[in-house]
Amino acid sequence: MDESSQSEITQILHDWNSGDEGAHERLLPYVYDELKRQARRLMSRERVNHTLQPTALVHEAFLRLAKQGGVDWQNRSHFYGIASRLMRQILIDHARQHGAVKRGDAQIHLSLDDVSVSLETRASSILALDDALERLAKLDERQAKIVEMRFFGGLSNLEIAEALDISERTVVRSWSVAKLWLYRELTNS
Amino acid sequence: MAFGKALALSRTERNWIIGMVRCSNTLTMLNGRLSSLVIEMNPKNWEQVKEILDRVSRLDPAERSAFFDTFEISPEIRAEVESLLGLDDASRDFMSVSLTEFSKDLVADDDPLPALLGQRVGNYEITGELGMGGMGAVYLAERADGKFEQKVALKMLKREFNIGALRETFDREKDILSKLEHPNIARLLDAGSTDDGVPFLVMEYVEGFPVDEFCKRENLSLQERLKLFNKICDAVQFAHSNLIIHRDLKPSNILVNASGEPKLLDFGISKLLDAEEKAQMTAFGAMTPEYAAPEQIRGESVSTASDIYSLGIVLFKVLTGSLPFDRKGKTSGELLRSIAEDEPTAPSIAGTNDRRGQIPGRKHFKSDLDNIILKALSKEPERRYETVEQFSADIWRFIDNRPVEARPATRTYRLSKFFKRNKILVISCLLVILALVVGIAAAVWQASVADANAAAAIAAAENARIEQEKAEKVSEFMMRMISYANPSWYANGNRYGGETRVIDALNDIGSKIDTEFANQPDVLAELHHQLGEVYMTRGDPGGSEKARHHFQRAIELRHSYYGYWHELVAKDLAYLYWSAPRPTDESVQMLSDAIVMMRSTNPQNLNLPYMLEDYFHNLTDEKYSTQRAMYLRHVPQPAPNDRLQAADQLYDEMMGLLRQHFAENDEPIIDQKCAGIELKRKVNKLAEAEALSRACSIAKDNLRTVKEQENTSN
Repeated sequence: MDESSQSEITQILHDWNSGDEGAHERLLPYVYDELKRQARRLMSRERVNHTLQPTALVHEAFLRLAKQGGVDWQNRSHFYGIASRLMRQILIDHARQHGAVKRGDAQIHLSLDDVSVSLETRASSILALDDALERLAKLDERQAKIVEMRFFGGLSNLEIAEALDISERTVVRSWSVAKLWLYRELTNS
Repeated sequence: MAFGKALALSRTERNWIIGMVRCSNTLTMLNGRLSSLVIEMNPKNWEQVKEILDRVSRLDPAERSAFFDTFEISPEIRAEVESLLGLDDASRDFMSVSLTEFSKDLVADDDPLPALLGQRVGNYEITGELGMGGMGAVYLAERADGKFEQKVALKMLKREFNIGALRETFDREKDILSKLEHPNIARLLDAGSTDDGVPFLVMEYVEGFPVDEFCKRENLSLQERLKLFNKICDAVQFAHSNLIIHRDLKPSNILVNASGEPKLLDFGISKLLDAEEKAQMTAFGAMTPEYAAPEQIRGESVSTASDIYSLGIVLFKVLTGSLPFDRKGKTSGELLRSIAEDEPTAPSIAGTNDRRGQIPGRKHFKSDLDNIILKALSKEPERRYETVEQFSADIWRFIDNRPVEARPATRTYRLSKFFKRNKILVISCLLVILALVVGIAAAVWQASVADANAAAAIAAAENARIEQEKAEKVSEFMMRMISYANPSWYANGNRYGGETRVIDALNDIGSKIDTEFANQPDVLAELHHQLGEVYMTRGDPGGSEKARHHFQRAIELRHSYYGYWHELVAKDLAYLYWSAPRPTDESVQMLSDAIVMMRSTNPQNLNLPYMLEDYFHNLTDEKYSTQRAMYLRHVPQPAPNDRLQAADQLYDEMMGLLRQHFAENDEPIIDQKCAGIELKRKVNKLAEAEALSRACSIAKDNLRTVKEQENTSN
């Protein structure tokens, strides 16, 4: 990250901290770049075992940006929400680039065992999920948001609860129902 | 709802809850709602599905069935709930790790930009890349329909940012550009969006260099640079008159083409103002710190004054090759703090480490051009030029050798007329010495006219002896100071130019006088005072602190030598006030004391009218509005309650005093006549105002004629 974008980030973070509502949108490009950078870095690490940790991408992106900004960061949860949204966009974008197609009989490959499934197949699953999530958002926007934060953003229930200002219990309940609904959407189509 | 929260672990509890619900109000309401359900899922019935699902998920099938019956759940909801519950086991592993985790190879092998080269966008074919921003990219493109050959700059939002506020920002730039038809602003030629809805702008392609680079490449003279800058001012003024603030003026947004025409680019973060919000608006943020105004940095309201500030920085860069606030060796936070708080370096002494960017004749632009730029760089927007036009007009005045309007503060400007800065060391030293010699001469003269009676004669002889000693000491010191001018003083590897030598010598003198003149406190005090003045008028970084130190030393010494109530103490106090960056409660009190002291000790002292000037000026001036009460408190006269009346009184007193020193047509009188017009109008002395105004304009015309004659005779 070059110096001028660094100081721009600082400025945006300051604005955000001082209540400028538009600031987070201006941060998007930087978060986006940062997330991609992190993802590449993660990939280059040699995988020593198959135990997958919940992703730390968003956390790391946050820490890095906040640290660069040199500000006392108050809007962590807000940031997480946005970063999750971006992660979703990034992944969907790349899924498209990898020639993924929506298939009527799409087998879903979105579970632990599917890490070894081919890129293209996984990419198709991601696109299908994205579509389903759009439909869920029409039924229940908050629920879709929770899925986005947990699944795309890799955030914990507590973090999601804080970001959305709801109880952790609500997050857990919404998540489990959403999971069922999405699963059915993807398998029934 | 208490009911949901209590969803129990034990069977007993569950039964109890069901029992409770049976007779609760909630039940009735829920029931009522459920019976009116439509078949398709919508947000409303989805709420109920979720609620019921949550309640029944831990019940066994028999209990579930009882639950549905008891609450008369509609078949649709029931089917939905059961369908979802049936998936519970199958979906256990579903989405059990976050998506990023097992799709990271997907992200990792990516090329962030889809290859747009050769692609067609609207009527244009992309032929190259001009720049990448955070949210978008600018491409070089050409007409693809072959209608005519034209290179254009095509600005596109990145697809993933084609949302919400970012999209609005992009659209706003289009609206703004469509209003700006000016020869020095890159024109909007076309706009549209791609098939998948990504917006783009087609703009005039400017082939050229950033303005600072252009000046360096072409090795432009001072005049040429200033004239080029004035064209930029025209463009910015044009935008302002269309109620548009650019907000990101910097060399890379000001390109100069081969024919030397500057073109303003990138209104990406500029702001279209409504007529009502013309004065101010909230800061938006995405700017370039080095060129951003302090109020932008602080996130306060941004106005046309912020552009004036950025233009000031651009001019600074164009003339000196450096920036007033350098990020070198600073963290971002430090840089921002520095911009918001520190006084900028004077352009004439900036960039001494990097001579490449400097221009020929740079040394000559000292005071006036310094003042112009520093006025534009004032921390407080209201202290800057009111409009870009005025800024530009002042530069024209400088080019035409007419007196400029910018003066950093009345006092410094005035003083710089008394103490023309000197590049030659000896003259700087002589300033100090001259004052001493004059002081000594006066003392000797006083001794000689003393009464001729015996006692007085002895005293006179004693005085004469002391003065003799003093004179010797002084001349000895003088010799040494002159030796600073000897190049060999710097022979030991000193590589600095003339500017630095003066400051080195001054620092050296300053550190030595306390020991050299320990036995002559009156001489020492005067030396401290003179050094203070030199520091104060030179304007080196940190100079005003040094000046204050010397004035304070002078005051201490004079207190013990002359006592507290003395003309010279009054003078020191006034200078201590003048050397402060801004008035404070204490310094206003100090100036007030000094005025009273000077009036009673020597009303003829030439400093007195200028002390009064500061006082009345600050009383009148809007920008001191918050401090007016403070000033009024200290008006050292039976004060009228009204601040303007008080100011008017001080003004008259000042003019009376000045007339004792100067003739009607002398510059100091004329300057003050011009300065008094506004005040006289405000206190409703219209006839006086009219007279002053006439005198002022006649005098200015005369002055202009004289200068023009001087120019032509040169």
